[in-house]
Amino acid sequence: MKQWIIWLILFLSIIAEGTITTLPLVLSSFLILMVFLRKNILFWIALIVGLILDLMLVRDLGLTSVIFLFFLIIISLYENKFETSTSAFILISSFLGSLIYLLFFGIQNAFIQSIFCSFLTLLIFKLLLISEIKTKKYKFE
Amino acid sequence: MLKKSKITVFLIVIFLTFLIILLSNFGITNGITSFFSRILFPIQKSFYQSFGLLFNNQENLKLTEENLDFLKIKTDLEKLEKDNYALRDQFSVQKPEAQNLLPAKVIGFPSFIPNVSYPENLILDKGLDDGLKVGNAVLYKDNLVGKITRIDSSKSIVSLITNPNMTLAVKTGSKNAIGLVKGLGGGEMILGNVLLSEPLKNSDIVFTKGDLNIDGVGFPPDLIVGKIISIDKNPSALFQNAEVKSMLDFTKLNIVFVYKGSR
Repeated sequence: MKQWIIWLILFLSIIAEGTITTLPLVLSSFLILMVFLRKNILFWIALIVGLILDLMLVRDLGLTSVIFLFFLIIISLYENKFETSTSAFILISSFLGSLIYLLFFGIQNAFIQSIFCSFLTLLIFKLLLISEIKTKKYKFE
Repeated sequence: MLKKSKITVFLIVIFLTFLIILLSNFGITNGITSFFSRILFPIQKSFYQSFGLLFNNQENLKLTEENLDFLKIKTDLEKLEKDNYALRDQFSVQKPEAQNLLPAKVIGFPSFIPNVSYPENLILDKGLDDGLKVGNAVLYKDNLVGKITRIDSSKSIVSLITNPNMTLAVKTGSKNAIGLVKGLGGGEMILGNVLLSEPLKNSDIVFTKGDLNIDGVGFPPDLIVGKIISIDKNPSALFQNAEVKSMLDFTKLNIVFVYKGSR
């Protein structure tokens, strides 16, 4: 799978969350990035992206980064013990992450938004997984 | 080993983040924040406008504008009738004059998902650098939109009148009944604290009572808050309540005016 697709999703999520929606799309993008890439640089990117979102949404500087960082470390600690590339894990972790994020920032309809966001994350994850399998199959042939 | 390195990176980054939070609380990062806000702002603005073009039907916007114009004419006529034409002249009409208003573009709607939730706040493209302050009223064509509750150098957050944190003193158009309008969230407002003896009627227009301070911060009088759509009058209660609906569709606002106070 081409990595640029995941980075593009992250970029679009920043734009969408910074302008038109309160859905925690960036958090979901980081979940997908962590599951697929598993790189330490994601922590640094989470810090920068969190600061950008704080500037765009006129929040106290650094708060969004804290949430992203704790979310990423929990995901990465979990992946050392269990399989993270499963639908159930994506669905539950994105739901819980979104819910905590929305409640932390006092955004209304947190529960509905979290459900919506978790299914959206699952859909993107599945599409990426399919594209990855296809790429591997093509390479094998 | 990998786990250890992950935790080390996490600890370094989280330390940096807390350092940024600490410095920002002391106001040390204000200059840098302002610099980066200025870079990000045009990007945010252009994307917001592109999204706006995608979602807003131009014909609907035009009709809404016309509707507001007609409403303005109607309320002006009601005022003229009430005062019997004689006691009013151009200077007695307490409306915000153009020189006291600063146009600002709406660049964000936090906590808004189309057809799911209703916006409670707006983000405007004007801030401290444009002479705005926390508490400045925001309006659109004689209609009250809300007030500025948070501000930085180039942007400000406006709490809409329907926001649950908003309360303001109001009067009704026909009989001058006085009460308090409180936002309930989800685009709804309630008019309360109106004495039972005060007559309220459906379709009555609710205006701001006015609470400007010496710096011109606050709500100017006679701005339209909304229209009464239902009344709840219980003879055993001390006060009567009414449901009020704003004449504005806040989700369609692209430009608003900030009342900076009379000079």
